[in-house]
Order: sequence, then C-alpha cells, then structure tokens
Amino acid sequence: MSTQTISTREMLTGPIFANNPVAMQVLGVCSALAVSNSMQTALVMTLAVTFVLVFSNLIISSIRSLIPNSVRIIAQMTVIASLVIVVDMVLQDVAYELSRQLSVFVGLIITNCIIMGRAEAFAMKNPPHLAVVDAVGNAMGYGVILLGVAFVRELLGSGTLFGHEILQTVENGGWYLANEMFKLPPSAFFLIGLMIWSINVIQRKRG
Amino acid sequence: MSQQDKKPDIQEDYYAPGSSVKGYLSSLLIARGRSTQGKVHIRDAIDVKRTMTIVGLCLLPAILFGMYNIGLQAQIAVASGLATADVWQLAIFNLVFGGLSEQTGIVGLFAYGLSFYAPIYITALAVSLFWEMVFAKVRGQELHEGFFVTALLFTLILPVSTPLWLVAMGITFGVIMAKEVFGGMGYNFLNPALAGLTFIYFAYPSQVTAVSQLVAVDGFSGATTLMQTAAGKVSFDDYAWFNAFSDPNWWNAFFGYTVGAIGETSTLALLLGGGFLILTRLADWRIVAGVLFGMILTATMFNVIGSSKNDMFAMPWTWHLVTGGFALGMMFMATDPVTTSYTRKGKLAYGLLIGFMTVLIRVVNPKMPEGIMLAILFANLWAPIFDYLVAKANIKRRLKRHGN
Amino acid sequence: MAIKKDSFVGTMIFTVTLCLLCSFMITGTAEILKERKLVKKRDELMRNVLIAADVDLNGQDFRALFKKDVKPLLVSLDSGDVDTSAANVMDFDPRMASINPETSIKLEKKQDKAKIKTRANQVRVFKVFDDKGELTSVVLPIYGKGLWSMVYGFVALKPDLNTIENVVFYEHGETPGIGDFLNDTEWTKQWHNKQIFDEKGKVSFKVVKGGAKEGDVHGIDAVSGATMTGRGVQRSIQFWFGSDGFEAFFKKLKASEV
Repeated sequence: MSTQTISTREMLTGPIFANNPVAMQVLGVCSALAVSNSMQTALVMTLAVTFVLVFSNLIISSIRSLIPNSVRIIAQMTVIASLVIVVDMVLQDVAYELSRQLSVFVGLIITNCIIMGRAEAFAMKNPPHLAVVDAVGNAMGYGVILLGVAFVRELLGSGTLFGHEILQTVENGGWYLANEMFKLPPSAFFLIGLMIWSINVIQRKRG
Repeated sequence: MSQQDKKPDIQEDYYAPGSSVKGYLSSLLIARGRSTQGKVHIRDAIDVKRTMTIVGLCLLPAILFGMYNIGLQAQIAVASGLATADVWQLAIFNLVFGGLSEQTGIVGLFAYGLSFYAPIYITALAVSLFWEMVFAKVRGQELHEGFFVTALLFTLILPVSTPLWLVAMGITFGVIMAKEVFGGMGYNFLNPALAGLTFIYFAYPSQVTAVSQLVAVDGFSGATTLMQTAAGKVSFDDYAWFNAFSDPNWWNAFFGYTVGAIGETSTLALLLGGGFLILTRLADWRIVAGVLFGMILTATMFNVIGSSKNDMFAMPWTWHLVTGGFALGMMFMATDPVTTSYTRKGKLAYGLLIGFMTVLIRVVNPKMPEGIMLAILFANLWAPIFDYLVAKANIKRRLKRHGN
Repeated sequence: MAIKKDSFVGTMIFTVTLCLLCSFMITGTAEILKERKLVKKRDELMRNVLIAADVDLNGQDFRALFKKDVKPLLVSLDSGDVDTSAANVMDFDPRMASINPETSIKLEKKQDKAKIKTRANQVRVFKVFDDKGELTSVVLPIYGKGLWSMVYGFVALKPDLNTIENVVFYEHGETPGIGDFLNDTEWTKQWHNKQIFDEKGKVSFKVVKGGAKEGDVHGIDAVSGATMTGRGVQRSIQFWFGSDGFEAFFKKLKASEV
C-alpha cells in the first residue's frame, strides 16, 4: 500500500465501508460473533479494540526502523499482548461486571487478526501519524459492524437497546415476542453475511 | 471461440435476462413451444415445471391424509372433553357443519383440516411467490417454479396451530437466506424449507415445539411417541423390531392416525408418494436406501448398547420409521436434487449420514426428539465433500489403471 | 549505529529492551490499580457474604451492615476450634493459605472429592447476626473443581447447621454461556431451605440431572449441558461438609464451645 496515492481522508473512511476489515477482509469475526448480543458489550469491545489498535500501530510504527526483521512478528505480538493485558486490567477495575460478561474475549483481542494485520501491513511501513489514522479508520470499521450487529441482535433478541426496553416483550407483559435466535451467536453470521451482501451490491452499483 | 460456437445451454436460457413475471404467468397457461436450435439432439420434455408438478402430485396423498388427520385428532380431543378453539379459520366450517362433534363424518373432518391447512399454505405460497418475484425482477430473470414445492414441503412439517405470521417469517428466511443469497434456484446448498423450519425452531421455540400446537383444539396436552419415549413414559424393553407388526399402535402410526406435524404422520401415504417419485427417477433410490439403511443400522446399534436411563436407546427401527417426520424427510426432503450429492456413491454416503444422524439426535439429545430435519441440513453441508471424495477416489483409481 | 539491527547482538538487545519496556508498562498499570483492587476485593467479599446470608442490601450501606452484623472467624478445620490469635481476620488470604505447604495439608486422592489437591488448615467463616444479636446464619466458604476451573462460593446455613439459607458462587471459569447458571439467581433460588444432611447425618445434598423431584429436600435441578459443572458443585458440598471439611467445627458449634 503506497501512501502517495491514498489521501488521509480515504485512509480514515475507506475501512469503514469499502474496505471494511470485518465485512470485506473477514477478519476479527470471532469476537464479533461472541460479544455482539448486546450494545453495551459491543461498545466496550469496540473501545478496547480501538485503544489496542491505535497504540499498537503508534508504537510499532515509531520503532519500525529498529525492529530486526527476524523477530518482527514476535515484537508486534509482544507490544499487542502488553496493551491487551493493560486494557484487561483497567477494564476489570473500571467495569468489573462488564469485563466478566466479555470474559475471555478481551484477552482474545491479542489474536484479533485486524490488529496483527494492520501492524504488519501498515504500521511497519508508514510513519506514526499515518499509522494512527489508519488504526482509527480500521477500529471504526470494526466498531460499525459490531455495533450494527449488536443493534439488531439486542433489539430483536431481547427487545432492548443498551439495556433500555424498546420493544416490550411478552414476558414483561408487552406484545413483542422475542426472537430467541438473535440471542445465539450464529445469528451474527447471518447478519454479517447480509451486511457483506449489501456492501457488495452497493459497491458494484458504484462501479 | 466465437459466439456462434458456444453450445446452447439450457441453464443459460433459464437465467437469461429479460424474461420475467409476465413470461412465467403466460407459460403457466400456455405450453412453451420451444424447439431445439442448432444441431439436432433429443431433449426430454421434463423441465423444472414438470418436475415440480410431479413432486406436488406425489405429496398429494400425504397432504390429503394430513388434512383428514387434523380433523380426526381434533375430534378425538373433543371427545375427551376439550373445546375447539375460537378462531376465524373455523368460521365457514362452523357455518356449514355446525361445529365439530363426535358425529362429524369423514367429509366434515376433512373440511376441518382444510380450514386450518389452507390459510397456512396460502400464506406460505404467497410469501414465497412474493420473494421470488422480487428477486426475479431485480435480477431480470424468469420466475422459477421451485417456490411451489418449497412452500408445500415447508407447510407439511409445521404444527397445525403455527401462527400465520410465523409461517411467513419462516418461509421468508428459508427463501432468502438459504436460496436467494446464493443465487436462487439451483444454487442453494441447503434445503430452503428445512432452513425455514430451523429458523422458527430456534427463534421461537415456544411457538413450534409445544405439543399443544400439534392439534387444532384449545389446550391439547398429549404427546407424540417420540416425546413420550424421550420422557420415559413409553418403554420399549423386550420389544423386538418385528413385534411392531403385531402391535396395533404401530399400525396406527404407520397409517398415520397419530399426533404430529401436518404432513408427516402417515408413513403409508408418504411411502406411496415417495415410491412413485422414485419410479419417475426424480428421487434417487440410492438416497432413500441410504437413509433407511443408516437408520436401521444405527437404531440396532443403540438397541444392542442399551441404556438404563434413556428409553430412546431401546426404540426399534420399525418405530423410528413411523414416528416423527422420518418418512417425509427420507422421501421428499433428503432427495431434493439440488442439495444432495451428485455422484452415485456420494448419494449413498449422503443417505447413510442422514439415517445415522437422525437416530443419533433422536436418541442422545432428549431435548430434541425430532432429528431428521436437522440431520438432513447437516448432510446438505457434507454433500459436496462426498462428491469431492468420490471424484478424487475415481481419479486415483484411473491413474493407477492407466497412469504411467 | 555501531551495531547493525539485524545482527545477532542487535536482535538480542532489541528483544530484551522491548520485553523490559513492555513489562514496565504492565507492572506500572498493575501497581496503579493495586490499591483500588484491594478495596474492591474486600467490598466484593463483604457483599458476597451478605448476599449468601440473604441479607437485603437494597439501599443499605453494605460496609456498615457488614461491620454491625457479621463476625468473621478463623477456624481450624481439624480441631474445629476458633483461632482467636489472628489480629485481623479480614486480612486472611484463604488462597495463599491453601497452597502454602506450611498452612495446608495435602489431600489423598480418595479424600479429595472436590479435587482441590491441598486444603488449608484454617478457613474463614462468618457468623451473621440479626439486630437483636441472635445468630441467623453461618456463612461457609466452599470451592471445588467444575469442568474447567475452580468454582468458589459461599453457602449460608441456618442455625440448625443443616438448612441452607442461600448460596453464592462468586468466581468460576466455566464455559461462558453454559456454566453461567452459577451466577443466576433463578438457579440459586432453588437452594433455599434445602437440607445438606439426611437424618443419619450423611451429606445427601445433590444436583439432580433431569430435575429434582417435587418435595426432595436434598436435591436441586442440574442444568442440561453443564453436567460436569453441576457434579463439581455437588462434590464440593460433599467434601466441605464431610469429615475433611466443617465436621469438627460443626460439632464444636453445636456443643456451643465456640
């Protein structure tokens, strides 16, 4: 990827739609399936990934000229893993209940391919300020999909958004019969699939 | 290669842009006088429409019996002191027959069933036709007749009291997610009717898994044989498979006088229709044989293993055959020509896998006594792999024979 | 630069430096959060004990409540005596005590029903009193292996030392989504008024697969899909209320010696 041909703005907005890391490159899907059953967990997860992605890109880009080629993947992993541990500790302190709901998936950010992918593909070759822009763009792309899926799943699965009742369910004396499937992780597959479909259709229309 | 040299391709013709809803509707009434073009070759008159019509005809015995059975089961329930539900479906029936009683004759029972089945089928048909039309329009393709049978099969595996909005949702999911997103008819790798059923099964379990849904009266609380056995209420201890033939209960289940989804109860009617389907070679006998054999083998294996805790272990294969949706699944769902394997050996393996999985799910997962629908979906996923393996084995064999 | 970055020495220097920096970052964060964590942990403990004792926490200051109504005790399991020498019972660390060879015993395979390998000599139990100073319940710590992880909890018994007041499982690493029922109050509600021991004094509490029968005073429903977790809970109860657990303490308690 050469930096001359892509403007900063494109770098920021590209990963949100046209080159979305989850929908177009199908990276980081594991966590997108697991934590997208409520808006709250999805938002926290997005913030955690954003933090790790921005700082890993920043750090790796800053020291990219120092990293020996033979250990570069391990060096990236070390930086990412340390950042994830920090996020995990802070999260346990600030929002203990939420961190329990997210359980292993915060720790699994380490293996999220988006972060490794951006570090290797972009931060290693570009100066820090561009790396940060790229990280923010990709994190937003991840967040858009995650929050979009969580929006549908929480609304249709539990009739709530951020825990607030929107559609009153039958169990609570309302009219809405909750769709149990959206509480199960496979439903995120369908939703992500539909998103990929619609993005493809729109892309093709644009040419 | 120039444009003229290209072989005329029937598939190509189907998916050619331009022909749309109008063309389809006219072709429903007027046969299409299409002759061969280019070099002379013999073409069978069988096309998608005729295929679908034959499948529909083969399903007819099961549908007719299913409607009669809805009435019959309701009558039995009414005789035991329950009241018929106060629903709009029964408005005409009540007007003509003055309500369901123990005296209602065969025509009345049939009409009772019809008044429940017709709205379900019309809903499923209308919704699937709607989606077909939307996609045909957007893609500029001709309408395909597949939706007709999809809607038919989908309604046959539903409980009679399924709410109509749920019928619409299920068929929508089946048509869109299992078929259209992959490119429409001929490109789907899952059976759309089963995908639709699975969707409502997991999305609204309270609406379709309750026993009370199976009989069209208020507050029914019986159970199917599968449910009873899974709950340990019916025991098959010391019951050999051939004992079934001298057991009136088994014959009842075989003829279909039992509680169950609309079109699945009568094994006899399904075997008749399915047999005709095999005769016309629209259904491959290898698949049916595979399913049957796999089921017998697995059921016998569980009989031999035995279990003191789970009564499903002892259920003989004769009972597996007549309970639940086994016959319907074996004859009509598993043999769907698009989603099976294409090689002959692959078809056998595909059938065996379905038979095996059906019994496995029924016996080992007491929460989900009905197994064949999930087993078929599972085998759908394996079908291409079987084909791949068969083709690969063939290549290997030929290399050995002719290779250097 | 004198040392080439891709040479062996360069790589070594880089690796070591990076590791050092990263570990500084982590320990730094941990150090900052440590103080808050201790307070949190203490709060969590107090709250769990009060929940186990079925005290209504709504709108109450649980710290004050805990101070007023709860008396923590350090109990020697083998003798059943209360250790009054400890300065501050709340500072007692049960996990350290259970792995430190000096303060714990190794369990034989046959004894070790809860699969915990070593057991601390002393545990911390809590006596809970009402406003009049009457004993309302005794909160006992239990833990044992589920499917993947240790499941930690508190069981509160009524003063008859048999009937369960309430139960809390506050830490486990069971399969997310499947083992979560441990935290579900709908599930723990079943424990209320169930009895641990039968008439002969044998531990009869069990987690019944397929659902406990109506009127079974010892059984609660297992959750399907989580057989091993349920079995682990049952074994923990068997162990902790057996001869290697609280038996000696209960004897002394019943004889009002402690």
